[in-house]
Amino acid sequence: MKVWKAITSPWLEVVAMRKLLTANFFRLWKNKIFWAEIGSTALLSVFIVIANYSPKVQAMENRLYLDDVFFTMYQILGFILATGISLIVGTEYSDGTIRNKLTVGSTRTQVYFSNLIASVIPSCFVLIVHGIITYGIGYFLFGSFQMQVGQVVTALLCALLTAFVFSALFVAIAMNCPNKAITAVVSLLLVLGLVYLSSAIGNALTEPEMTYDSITITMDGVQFGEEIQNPAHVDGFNRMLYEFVYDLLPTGQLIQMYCQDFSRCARWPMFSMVIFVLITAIGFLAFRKRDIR
Amino acid sequence: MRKLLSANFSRLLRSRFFWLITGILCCWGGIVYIMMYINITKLGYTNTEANVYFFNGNLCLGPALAIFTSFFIGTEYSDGGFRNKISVGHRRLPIYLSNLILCSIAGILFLAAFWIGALAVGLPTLGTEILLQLEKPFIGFLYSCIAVVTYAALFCMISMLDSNKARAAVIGLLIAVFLIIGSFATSNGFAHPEFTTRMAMNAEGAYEILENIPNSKYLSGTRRIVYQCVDALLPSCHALRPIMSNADYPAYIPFCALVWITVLTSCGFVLFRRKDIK
Repeated sequence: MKVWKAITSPWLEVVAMRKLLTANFFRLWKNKIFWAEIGSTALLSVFIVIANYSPKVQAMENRLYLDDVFFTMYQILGFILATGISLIVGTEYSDGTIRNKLTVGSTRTQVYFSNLIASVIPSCFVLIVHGIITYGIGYFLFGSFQMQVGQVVTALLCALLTAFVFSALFVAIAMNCPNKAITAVVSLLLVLGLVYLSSAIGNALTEPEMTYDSITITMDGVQFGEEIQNPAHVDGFNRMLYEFVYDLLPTGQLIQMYCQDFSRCARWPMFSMVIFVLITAIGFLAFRKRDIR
Repeated sequence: MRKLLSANFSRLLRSRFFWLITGILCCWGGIVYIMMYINITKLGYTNTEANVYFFNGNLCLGPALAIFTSFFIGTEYSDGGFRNKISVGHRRLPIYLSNLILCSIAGILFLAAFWIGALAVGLPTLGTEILLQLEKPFIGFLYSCIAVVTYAALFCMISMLDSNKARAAVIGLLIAVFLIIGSFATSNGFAHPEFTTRMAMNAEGAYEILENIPNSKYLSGTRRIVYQCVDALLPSCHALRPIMSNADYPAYIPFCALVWITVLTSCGFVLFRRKDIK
């Protein structure tokens, strides 16, 4: 009997999860917020490509290429995903759907992970829609990528993993906060805070090591003063720490993609996966202990 | 209206969200002046622009008011406050206006909290210089208040028309973020001068100055008019103006803001009057 139970229990788990996933995707397909998320991604992608195009600039030597435009949209990826996930999963909580799922026999593991999967897949859709539209229109206006194909594929993979991290984060918040409005506000403020922190770290890392104590513009030309150490330059252990945090944060990775700085991109996928597992573990453990009303 | 206002203020003083946002802004004021202190003493910055620090709270004003307004008015919707007010005989116009007045005053209190935190840290560490170095502080204060009322009119309209608290909060917060991005884009557009001075290296390898070169990024014609309209209408642009160094304060801005507040409030009220309140 024990052997039979051991054989059938994982199968039953998968079957129950399959049912929850089917229900989640059925709801998602009919959800206006999901379509608004996809629609706003499409509109913003078109807007960014067209707003960056100027025939005057394209005729100049330092013209723009698709690389300069493609990653711009990634700066607001967090806001789009925060809005969609917090409202979709938050509705599930506030409408009592989670309680109903538990009442009919689904386990908390199944409920949590089915919601996570149902949030990760739409995030992929958002990136696919952005990629197709930006490449489709951008190719005709700016030409192809100047980066190597391998580098483009790496960047897209890293962007996909950051979307997974965002999804895990917003699902963890939504599954542990019964108030939909607070979920949405906390998620959006978190993204805003992460963007602010990442840009502050990015700015600190770009400070040069040496600077001039004065720059004087006279009729004879520009005269540079004595070269001195820049007090704002970050080096040593602090630089290592700054770079670690910059690479760890999904917003930091996306800012580096926008700046086309792929010097440390080899460690981004590993960092994203670690963060994804960590956030999911914390979110799931907290959800398991919650009193669902 | 007096009764509605006193009821609203009584709720405001008991609102946890109000005190939470006030506390956060007060701490932010202190943090900003700690950063100024570090910049001056540790990093050796000398030409620190006092307005950037003193009016820094203006940047948080949009998101703070968006969250507060949606939660304050949204709770009134979800708890049946509006229905009760109407059923005891209050008309919809005083209800709308009392909420607008309350949100505007809450916004000014947020700014006051920021300045209290800022001065509590700034005065003991950096002295009265932080106030003496301010450029046009009274006009800056006036523009901050104009931004508060315009933001309040906008977010009040959204919250009064959308009974779903979460949706109103998300829409308000996203609009606030995009308004801030828009104001930075506008101020960047105006920052380009008509003629520029460029440095070029001559044949002998020395730098020389080339003056009065037409700037391709200078906004002219219809584009400049569009940017000026956006600058006159966005509350985030009014909020950003006191932060910028050498900012000009055109006389038409308060007038445009007044027109914009009237339009937003009128539209909001007309639609609110037709709303079925459950």
